[in-house]
Formats: sequence, structure tokens, C-alpha cells
Amino acid sequence: MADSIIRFENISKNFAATAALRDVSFEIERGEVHCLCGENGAGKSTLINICGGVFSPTHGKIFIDGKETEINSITKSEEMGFFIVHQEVPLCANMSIAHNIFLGYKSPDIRKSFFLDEKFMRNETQKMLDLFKLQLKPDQLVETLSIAEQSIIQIAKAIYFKPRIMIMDEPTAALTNDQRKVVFDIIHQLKTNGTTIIYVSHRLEEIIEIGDSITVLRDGQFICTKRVCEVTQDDLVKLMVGREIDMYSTHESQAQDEVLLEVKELTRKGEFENISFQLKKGEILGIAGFIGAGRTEVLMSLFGATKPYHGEIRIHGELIKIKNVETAIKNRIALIPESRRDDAIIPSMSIKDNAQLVTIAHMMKGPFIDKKKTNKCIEQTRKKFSIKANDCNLPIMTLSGGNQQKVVAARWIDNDPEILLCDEPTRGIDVGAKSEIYDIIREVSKDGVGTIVVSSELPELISLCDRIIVMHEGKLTGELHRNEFSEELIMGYATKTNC
Amino acid sequence: MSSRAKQLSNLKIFKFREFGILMVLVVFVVLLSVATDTFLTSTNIINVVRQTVEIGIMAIGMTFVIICAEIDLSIGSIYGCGAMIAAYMIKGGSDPSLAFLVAILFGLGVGFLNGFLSTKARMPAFIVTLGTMQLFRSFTYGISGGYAISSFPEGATDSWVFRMGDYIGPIPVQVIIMVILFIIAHVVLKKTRFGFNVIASGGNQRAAQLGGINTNRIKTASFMICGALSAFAGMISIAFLKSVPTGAGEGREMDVIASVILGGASMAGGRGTILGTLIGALIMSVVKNGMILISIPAYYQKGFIGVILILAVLMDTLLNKRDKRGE
Repeated sequence: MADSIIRFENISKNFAATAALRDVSFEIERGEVHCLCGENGAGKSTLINICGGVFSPTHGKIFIDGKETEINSITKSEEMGFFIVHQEVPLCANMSIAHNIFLGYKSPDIRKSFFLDEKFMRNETQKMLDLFKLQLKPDQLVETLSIAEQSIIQIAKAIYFKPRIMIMDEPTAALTNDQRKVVFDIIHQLKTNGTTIIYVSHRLEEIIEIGDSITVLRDGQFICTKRVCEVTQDDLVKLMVGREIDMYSTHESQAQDEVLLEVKELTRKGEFENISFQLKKGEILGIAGFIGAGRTEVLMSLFGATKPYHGEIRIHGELIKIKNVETAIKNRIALIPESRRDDAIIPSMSIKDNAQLVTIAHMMKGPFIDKKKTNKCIEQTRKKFSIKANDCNLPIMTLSGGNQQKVVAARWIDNDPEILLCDEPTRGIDVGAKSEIYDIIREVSKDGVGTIVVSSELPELISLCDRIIVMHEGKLTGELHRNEFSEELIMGYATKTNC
Repeated sequence: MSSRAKQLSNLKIFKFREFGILMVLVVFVVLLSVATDTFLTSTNIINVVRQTVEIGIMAIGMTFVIICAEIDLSIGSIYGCGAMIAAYMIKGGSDPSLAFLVAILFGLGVGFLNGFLSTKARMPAFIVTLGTMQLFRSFTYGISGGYAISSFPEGATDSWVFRMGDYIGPIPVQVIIMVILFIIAHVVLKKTRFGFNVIASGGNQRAAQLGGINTNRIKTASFMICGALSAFAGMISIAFLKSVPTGAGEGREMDVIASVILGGASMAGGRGTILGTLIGALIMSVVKNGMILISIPAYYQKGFIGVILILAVLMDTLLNKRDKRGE
């Protein structure tokens, strides 16, 4: 028998009537990178939370170093040497980067007699920022960072904590390829120092690249554990969903000749300058570039969420000043924002209310909400977007990330937009839901909707878009038509090495 | 048999949010009915409900404000100052209807000020309304010079404004007014776009804004509703007491906030119901009334309310935690 660091034995976890995990047994070897994969709702997060001491299993035992261990609190989990990099970043927004890195750090290095050794923390943080090539200062507050930058900071913490077992839940969801490489380097470094890593990701190519072995879960059940060298990506997809999915199906451009949106020399100081492009009816236009290149900011300006901008925006040739979100909506612009949790979902509301946040305006009967109409519409929406919910009056938080994202998409597409802006539309959602979101975007482009997609996943842009424009540090650096698409070329423009 | 039990637990009443807090009310009522001969008498019950009126009406406005994820500490001062202004006008010979209107406008105005400063000027509502609370409290003392105003002119007390303090048979008019206001507020929160937008603005302000909702306007409107209803409650107290003490409404904000929180609203915003608030307000007055009936010394009464509030919120947090884990 190999030397196992953790062994799960018949783990089950029930929430009320639903079983999140059913009789799961497998083991993880010491010093390996063990990948967990499965669609959303397969039970990966539940398993992680059990290791983190957040949940206790309903049945079953966990053996750590061969000894039966009850992980009944977060403290206990830390004692056992677990360190968890969560998908949603728990950092203190009002503290500096350096302080966040060393938050909870117990070693005496950071103390100088009774006081914190600020200089030490700052220097160490600077080293880490250089490693990731981030143009940030250690004293900068975390709230000023983008989501990608925040997730890097969280991963970086792990280097200092030197855990025995590190669990990473979708650590690279918001990162660019280069940043991902640095994360992989860190994983290798931790591995050589004897850390065991449990790695959760939807990106199968990553799993193949970084993993030693893989455990697949489906619907809360253990499917198999395999050595990475024994499987291909296609095998994994089949194992995860139990069916075959064509992720990058053949592409048919729906672009028409009519120019829908024309942006001329759009500028917002400190964010982007002189951005000019056109969007045709039915076209899917991608914006590629690194985090901080100003892509999100351009979308926010087009949607009137930040004000004011310089330059011209024309819709159907007519000059329009987008003062605020209301003007944008009036001009039939829609935005699926970058952060589902912060910018889109209203957690205290039901699935139905979230889906109808915008369209409710058309469902009034005099001063009152027409309940019959809303009920009828939500049924249609549920079917059209195949939202997996038994009852749309349940809270939105009962849905998986992928289904929440479908609700957000439904909120806007049901409002019949002409221009659809999508910012990282598939971030942190599973393969199945991803291809459903792609289908939704392709479907609306058939109706003549012009779509702009900002994404850090190049394969996503390449499979989805008719045309890609590339930004680098707030400027447009390149434009590629479908027949020119290649990851190398896009990366070249994004890093500005081939201009 | 077990299917029968299942049927029972599927009944709508067990699922609705206010069920827990309603049970708390029922427990208090039953306990007091058993412990005293005086609680469960029609006079006392009517009295308890009448004592709920002012807090209840103010709590309606506070529910909107709290669901918006804001807070209003100035309501006690709006209540007192509005009533004081109206009392002065009536005493000076003005038409009570005009005085009533001025008081309501005053409430709307302070509400607008609170809303403007805490949305457009981006100040925390806690600070803004702490300021307006002090400001208008001092006005109340200033106007009255520290004396209560009473003995209004003969003709004035015949006005409809003072009829609000009367009884129709055994039922106080103000109770009827309160019930009507609760029904209207319930409909506004549940069935109108404004109510929908209030819940959205408090649930996730950023998401609401990106959904095209003008959250500043929604929040300001909620503060204005809260101000107007507080002034209205002040007018009801004039009608009933035919006088205004200088300290009218002082500390009232705490009872009102406690009622709303008891009723299940979340200080984090996005959650709360009008029905819950009504039950919360009733619990407050049942408990106060009960404490007098079983002669708990006055000094300890507030402490008891504090304990109930903490226990109720604790219960709610535990329940919510269970809900969340059941995702």
C-alpha cells in the first residue's frame, strides 16, 4: 500500500433532504498533487468544507496519517495542517496587501519585540509581488485590487504558511496564462517541500498539466481515481458528465453587415484611452488582454456604470451620451458583470425575483406587480435557460454557480437587448453550464444581438467569437478575424511583443 | 398517521417566515393569560393594541429603511418636534388640518434630508440620523421652552385631527388607522415595483444599480416614508392625549428598531416583512403590559426587553445559519 496522508471512508453528507455526498471513499497519497473534478454540484466543495472543518460528515470517517480524525472545527483543520485557498476570496478589503498576506501568521518572524515588523512584511510582500509581476505596492489596500489580483494574493499567502495539505478551489479562475504559470511554479515548489496538494479546477488542461492523480465525483458519488498519465481530457469529460460534450463545436458567424455600435476614441483617464471599434448586428466580439488592461472598464463605461467618459458612442449611427445605467438600458444595452456575487446576485431574493430584476418593469398591472404574468414568465425563462430549480420561489443561493449565472443571463436576455456585454461570463462554472452559456450567447446572436465578450480564457474567446480585439495597458493593440485566431498571436498583442 | 403529520407540516402556515415570531407572541399571551386574571380581559387587550399604535406606525417606516440596509435614529425627534410644531400652531389658532399637514411635511422634509445626506453625500445613515435626532430634539425643547403644551382652543379639538384619538364603540380609531396603514404598507412592499426595488437595493446595492435601479432615490423615499409616518404617529399622540410633553418620543427609536428586528428584518438589509414588524410591535407592547401586570419593578423592565431582543435575534441567526447550510 502506498503511503496515504488522507483516507476518506464512506463519507456521506446530507443537507436536509438532499445528499451532497454519498458514500465516498478514496485516499490521497503523501506529497502528490491530487486533482478533484466534477461538475458543479458534484460534491467537491462539500468535501473541501469537510476538510476545512466547516461541515461535519453525516456518516463516514476520515483518516489522517492513518489515524481516525474528527475535523470538527476550523481550528482543528488548521492544526491538522490544512490550508484552503477558497474560490471566493476571503481577504480584508480595508487592510494592506502586506497585512493580508501575514494575517493569521503565527511565526515570530513578523514580530520585533512587541511590535509588528512592518519592514519585514513589506519586503517579503514586495518579493512576492515581483514574482507574480504585479505592479502593486505592499501598502496598497486590498479593496483597490481587481478580483484576479486578490486571488493571487490569497494563493501567495500559502507560500508563507507552509501547510502540510493545501486545498485549492479553482485558484486560477480569474488568472491569465502567465499568472497561472507562476501559480503552477508555486505548486511545484510546495510539492518539493513535501506539501500535499488537493487541486480543484474546471480547467481540464490544467489538471492534466499539474496533477499526479485525479478523483472524479459525479452527483455526490465517487466515480474513480486515476493516475493522470492514464487519462485524456476527453476521458475526463466523459467521466464527469457521463456523456460527451463538444466544447468547441463548429462556429457559424451570425454577423450581419449593419453596424450596430460604433465606439470612437473612448477615453477614461487612468483606465483606457482612444479605444475605437465597431460591433455589427449579430456579431460576437471578444476583448482579450491581461487583468488590468482596461477591458472591464470599457464595458462599464459602455453600460453607464462609471461616468463620465470622453469620446463618441454611436448606436445605429446615432450619437448617444450614456450618462447612467438607465440610459444604457433604455438604449437596449445589457451587462452580465464580472463578479456574480458582488455585482449581480441579490442573495436575499428568490430565483424568480433575481431573474426578473430588470424585466419586472414590463410585468406591471397599474401600480401592482402582475403576479400571474411573473409566474408565467418565470416558467418560460426556466425552460428557455434550463435553470435547474424545482421551485423558482426558492432563494437564489440554493442554486449552483452555473445556474445562478444562467439566472443573471436570463435577467438581461429576457429584457430583449440589442447589445449584450459579457464580462467573464463563465468564470468558476462547470463544463456543462459553460457550454449552456455559450449556446445562449450564440442563440441571441442569431436574433441579431451584438455581443461583446471579455474573457481571460483564450480557448473560450477563440471558440465563441467572430472577431477579437486585444487590449494592453488601456490601449487597443490588435484585432484578429476568425481565420487569424491563435493563442500565440493574441498573447503577443496582449503583451505587446509583436507590435 | 405519518402522512397526516406530513400533510400538517406542509400547511402553508408552518412555512411562512413569521411563524417563529408569531409563536413567541402566542407563548407570551398564553403565559400572561394564565399568570394573571387581568391580562385576558377585553379592556386590557384593547389597551395593549392601542399602545402598539404609535410604535407600530413608526415601525412601518423603519421596516422600509432597514430593508434598504439603512437606519434612522431621528424618528423619535421627528415624532416629538412634528407634534410640537403642530401643537404650537393649533394653540395659536391655526386650523388643525393645516397643523397636521405641516407636521407631515416636516416629517417628509427631515426624511429627505436624512436620505440625501446618507445617499448623495455618502455619509453613514447612523451618523446622519444621530445628528438630525439631536438637532430636532433640541428644537423641540427650544420651541416649548421646556413646558408641555396642552389646553387647546375649544373649537380646535372638534376637528377630525383630534377625532383620531376617539373610540368607535370599544375600538380606538387609531387602531383602525394602524391596521389600514399596515395593510397599505404590506401591499406596497409585496406587490409594487417600489417595494421590489427596496428589497433589491438593500439586498445588494451594486447589483440593483447595475440592474438599472436608482438606489439613491429608493433609499431617500424610504427615509421620507419613515419621517412622514413618525410625524403621523406624533399627531395621533396629540389627538389622544390633547397635549404634547417636551420629551415626547425621546428614546422611542430604540423600541421601534427593536420591533422591526424582532419581526425578522435584517440589519444587513434585503430581508424583512410588514407582517413580521406588526407581530414584533405587538410583542413589545404585550411584554410591557405584562411586566406591569405582574409588577416587575420599572427599573428592570427595559432590561427584560433587551434580553428578549437578543434572544429573538439569536434564534433568527441560528435558524438562518441552518437555512444557509441547507443549500
